[in-house]
Amino acid sequence: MEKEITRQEKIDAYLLNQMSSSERAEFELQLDSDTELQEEIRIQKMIVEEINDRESFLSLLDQNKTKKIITRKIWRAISIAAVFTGLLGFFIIQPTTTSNKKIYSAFSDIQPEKIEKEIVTDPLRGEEYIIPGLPTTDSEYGIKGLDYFEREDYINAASSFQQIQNIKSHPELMLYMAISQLKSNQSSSALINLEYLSSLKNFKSAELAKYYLSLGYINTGKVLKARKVLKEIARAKGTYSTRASEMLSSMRWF
Amino acid sequence: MDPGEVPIKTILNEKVIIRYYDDLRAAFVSYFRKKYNIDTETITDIYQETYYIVFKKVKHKQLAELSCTLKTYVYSIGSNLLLNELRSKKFLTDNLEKSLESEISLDKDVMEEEEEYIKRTSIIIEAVNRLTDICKSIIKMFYWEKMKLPDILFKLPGHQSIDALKVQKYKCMKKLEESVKARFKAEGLT
Repeated sequence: MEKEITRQEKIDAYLLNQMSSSERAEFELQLDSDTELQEEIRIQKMIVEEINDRESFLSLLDQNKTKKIITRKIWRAISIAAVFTGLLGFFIIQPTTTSNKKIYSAFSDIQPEKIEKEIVTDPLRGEEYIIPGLPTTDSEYGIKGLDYFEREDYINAASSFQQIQNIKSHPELMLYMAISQLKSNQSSSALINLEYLSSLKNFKSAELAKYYLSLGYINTGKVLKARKVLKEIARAKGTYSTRASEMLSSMRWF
Repeated sequence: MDPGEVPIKTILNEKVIIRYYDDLRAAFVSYFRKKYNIDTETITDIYQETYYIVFKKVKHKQLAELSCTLKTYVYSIGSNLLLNELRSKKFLTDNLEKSLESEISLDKDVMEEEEEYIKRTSIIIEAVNRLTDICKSIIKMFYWEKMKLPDILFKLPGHQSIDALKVQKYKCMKKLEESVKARFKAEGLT
């Protein structure tokens, strides 16, 4: 048995290319004269080749499959990353780049209609302005507020208008108050008043109230609400529809 | 280009041929399954064996002279293997035989060579598969994984010593060799 095993070891070394050149030369010399050895090598070579080819085939198939799975996973990851990057870019850059603050300051320059005032002569105080239809004290606060408003002192303007007892009875004055509140960073009060004024029927400055309401929304980051109101203004083809459209095209989407 | 239309002689190595494995499989399986009413498992096995033959031929640079496309070659070899499979299961009718033979587009002499090649290959693999599990493991580890006997001994603890393992490996290889030789002789192969 030992002899056969040694012979097999030599065949293995020959088939697996594990012989030195001198060992190989010596073995091939023996092979030339040994037909039985030639036959053994011929058959074993086919067997070893078949085993190696089969295993190599299966192993390459596996690698290919794994490669395809990995490629699919990579592509999926890239797609997800691309979508996220796109969304992130979209939120950061967006189709327009004008910030809310810039829009607010660029479009908040429209003045409300002048409030009708009358000059009256008081026997004690002499000539003075009053706002027709308002009780004397409310009229005084109204006149004061308008004065502050003209001087762009919106904090004092808002404060004066807020002293008027029944400002709802004078929507034009109330609009001044709401704009003063908006321009003096009293946004939540401004929005409540502007929403009220925008909803009034037969209020001739309702369009302007809506316009300022949209600015109030922009100023407080409620962009979707602002877009909705601006679209209404733009569709109505009124005095401020062009400005509303301009504002819409400069606004961020979210 | 459709992978099936690639001229087979332009496929240079086994790594390239493996890339087309999935591209042809679905169409091959669907075609033979529907046309010959063969179950999916059988036809998938036939495809695997067919593709192995293609792989082996590409690996050993034996297709450089052929002028057909990969699809023609795969479908011809596949039809031949299916013929053998149906014949061995005694499912082959005359009509089926004629129909399958008409799928073989390779020249007759080329196909004869291929048939002999396929026969040799299947005889060897059948002989390997008839070995005991332990013999298969030793042969695979030694000749494919190129493992040294002490490492095989470590992986197969049933053996007492290297010498015992050497004897076992020798017996496995001899059994395999004798089995292949006998089948070659029976099939008239040299």
